[in-house]
Amino acid sequence: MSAPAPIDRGAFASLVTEHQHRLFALVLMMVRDPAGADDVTQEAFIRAYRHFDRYDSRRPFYPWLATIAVRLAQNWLRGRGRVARREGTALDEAPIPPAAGDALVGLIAGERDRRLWRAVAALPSGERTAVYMHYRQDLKVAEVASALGVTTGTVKTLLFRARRKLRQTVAREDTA
Amino acid sequence: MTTAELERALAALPEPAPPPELAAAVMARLARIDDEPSRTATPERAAGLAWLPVVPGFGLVLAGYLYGLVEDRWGLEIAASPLGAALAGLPVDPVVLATATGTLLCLVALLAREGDRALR
Repeated sequence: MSAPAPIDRGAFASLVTEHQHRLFALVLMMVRDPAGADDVTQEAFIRAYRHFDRYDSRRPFYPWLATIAVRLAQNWLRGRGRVARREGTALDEAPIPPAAGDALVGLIAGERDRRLWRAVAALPSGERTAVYMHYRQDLKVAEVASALGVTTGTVKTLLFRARRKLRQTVAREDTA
Repeated sequence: MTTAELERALAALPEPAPPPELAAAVMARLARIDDEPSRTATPERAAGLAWLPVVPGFGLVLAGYLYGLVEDRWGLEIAASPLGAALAGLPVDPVVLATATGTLLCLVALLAREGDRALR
């Protein structure tokens, strides 16, 4: 028989309920595809459940879960990138899928917020992930670095570049 | 827009809601995982067990080789021992049989391991 999971399924269900919104939003920002985000989010919870013995319960749960999700989303993007290269489109040059835009536009009330969301979503993958995790999800630079598998210095560079691009984009659109 | 304004705006970005059935789908998949037998839960253990025939296989090959050495150097005849009498009825040379069986066991273990890796 399989070894019992180190967490009760009922207890894990409450973790799913508590973190699904936040995790889905992060994954959606990374993959920019609602169906892909759904798949990756589900898979992240499944992996977390299966490997719950690796979670250090002295630390907050969400950064550990987000790390799993980020790795899965990166794999998803790599898979999508291979398809895009075959089709002659580099991933970061690819426009945000219309379905993702439609799904989000209705949720964002303010025109300026909507523009900002689009600007963040248009950033290169590493920058938009770092920005979203650090500013929107309030994760520490070290936690973002751990999730992305890079150094804290790299995350700070990603955040600096992203802020500069976002300011330029918002300023350009304000004057337009 | 200043950096502080930008950071405030980013912190307030709306988070899109997940599909309403996401949590239920996750829990249904977890229920299936808990119910399924050990096939997926212990692949490492199964892969480890696949190597098991190597031990007797290697032992048989080594025994055949050592017997050849002993026989050549000291003229020891296994046929003269009670074991030799028991093996005398075999249609092939016992050393050849032991070496062939040992090699076969090693090959079986190797193919089982490679087959398991290819399936994953």
